[in-house]
Amino acid sequence: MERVHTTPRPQWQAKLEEIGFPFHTEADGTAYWDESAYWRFSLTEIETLEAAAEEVYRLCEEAVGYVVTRGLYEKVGLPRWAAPAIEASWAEREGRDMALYARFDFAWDGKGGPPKALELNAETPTSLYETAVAQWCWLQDVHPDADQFNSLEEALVERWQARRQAFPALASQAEAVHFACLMPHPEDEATIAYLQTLALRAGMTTKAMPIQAIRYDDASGRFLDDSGLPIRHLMKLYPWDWMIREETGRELVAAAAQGRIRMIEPAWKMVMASKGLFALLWELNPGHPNLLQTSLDRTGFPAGATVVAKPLLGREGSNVSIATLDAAGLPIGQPIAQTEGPYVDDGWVYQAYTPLAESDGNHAVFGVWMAGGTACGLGIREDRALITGNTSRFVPHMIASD
Amino acid sequence: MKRSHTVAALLLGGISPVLFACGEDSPEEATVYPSVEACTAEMPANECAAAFATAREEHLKTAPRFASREACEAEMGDGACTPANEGPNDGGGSSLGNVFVPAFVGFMIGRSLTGGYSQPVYFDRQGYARSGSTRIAETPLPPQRRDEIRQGSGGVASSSGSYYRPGSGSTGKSFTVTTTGRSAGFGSTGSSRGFSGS
Repeated sequence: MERVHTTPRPQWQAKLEEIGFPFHTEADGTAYWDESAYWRFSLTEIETLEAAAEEVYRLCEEAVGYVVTRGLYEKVGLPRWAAPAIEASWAEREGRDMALYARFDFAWDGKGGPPKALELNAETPTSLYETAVAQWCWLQDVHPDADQFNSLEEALVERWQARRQAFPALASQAEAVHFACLMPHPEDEATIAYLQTLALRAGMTTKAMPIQAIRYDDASGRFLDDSGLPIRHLMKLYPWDWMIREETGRELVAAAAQGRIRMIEPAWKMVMASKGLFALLWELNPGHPNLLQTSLDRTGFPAGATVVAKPLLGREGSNVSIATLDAAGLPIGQPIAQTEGPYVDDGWVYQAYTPLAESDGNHAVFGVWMAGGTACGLGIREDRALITGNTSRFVPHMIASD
Repeated sequence: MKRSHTVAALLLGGISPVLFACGEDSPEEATVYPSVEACTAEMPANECAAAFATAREEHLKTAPRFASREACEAEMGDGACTPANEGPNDGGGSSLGNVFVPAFVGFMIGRSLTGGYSQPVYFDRQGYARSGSTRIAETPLPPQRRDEIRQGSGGVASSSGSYYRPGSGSTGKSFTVTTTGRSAGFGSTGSSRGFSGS
């Protein structure tokens, strides 16, 4: 793999706006979309990432099953009372409560060692449109004959088709899929719109609405949309573990457990989305080449180990710190890097530090997209800092044709 | 090949996704055109006219039917309905009698290896978008933009006819959806913390 400097397309901002991606620049004027460089991979490297992602996803599914069958919800930072929804959906994970998508973050420098999975964003993965569309169009413009690890759109349409087949009422349009996110929120609304577009291609009826406008009818036990119509299928770009702690969270757990509402992602995804799952992964698969030592207890690392502390239910690279620990698991000196944020309440997970791919001071994390259990795309985020956050730049990639 | 054959870009200011194809072997694509004019900008005029005619025929066959304008607008939205016998002659000989149907706001042309198809597109009052016998996704538009499109396409009178005509008798009429239940309260955590995924 190689990071290649290149000249951005003339009027690249206008080109991105044309395809519905006006979010290319941060509020402070720095680029979020960065096509002054791209990463070039060999097909073998891409296949290595692909295989690693599918392998670790399989292990993640096993770990979710382990949590569900033993009721180890506290271990992943979830309240026991959410179990009915999690367990009911897990039982139907191959059918009516199938997963839609997820995104791994991999660290890999391609210098001989295997890719290491840092985490799995199993519920509200960001950078979908950048990956599936913006970098696809970039490649089409600058290297139309080249290939890219990016069948994400086709794979998601297939997932929607599979869902349609699992629900006769969706196939006959007697029922619709509601798409909800916080509104106003231009980025999330665009993501929702894109997902709707893909559901459209799979033949579904859909409707977008603000998640704040969802209503609950105590008499019928149904959630309603802003027109008073029942919501039977809800794609929410919003975390489960927040919803269950909001006003009608327990009603949502009950409705999902009884199949009165079908959620996308399904409730079992909140187990998979917990950072604590990676501690369990290590416990169940110690020494696995694609995993890093991970624990809820920071005393288990060898003295002098560099360890990353992440909130159990954290997001966006917030509240992450990297430090060297002594034999008692206490940091030696100041952290090597750390970020601020609001996720301080729900416990921590500790993971052995491993370097990201680096070039000219740019640290790149490789986001491998999953549609169900199939790896189907790559989106790269770069930062000058060691910790990737929500302003880290998106850099496109291609597969070398040799 | 490890890349998608096409991607559906969200066209700013447009009604629909526009599909970009990679190579000649695109397995399937569908584009929604708000007007025949918009279509002719990208495709041969005869294909657009044919697609429009097919979509209209499909619309006449499959659109939900209402006994009155009021009943139709109650479901489809104010000014969204048209008498079924109004509009250009579809030539198909089908007759819906004296009923009202939602006027379509565009038409969708799809292609696949098994051939092309064309379907009408229209929005209903609740913001669901439908296409012929298949409802389609609501496009990424806030309601006011949706209304602009309706208004915009409503004014278009092309050689193929005006396929959306706001009802003249409906101005100022309001329709209230009965709201039951209570606010579910979702979104409060994200509103206070700020949220942008993971």
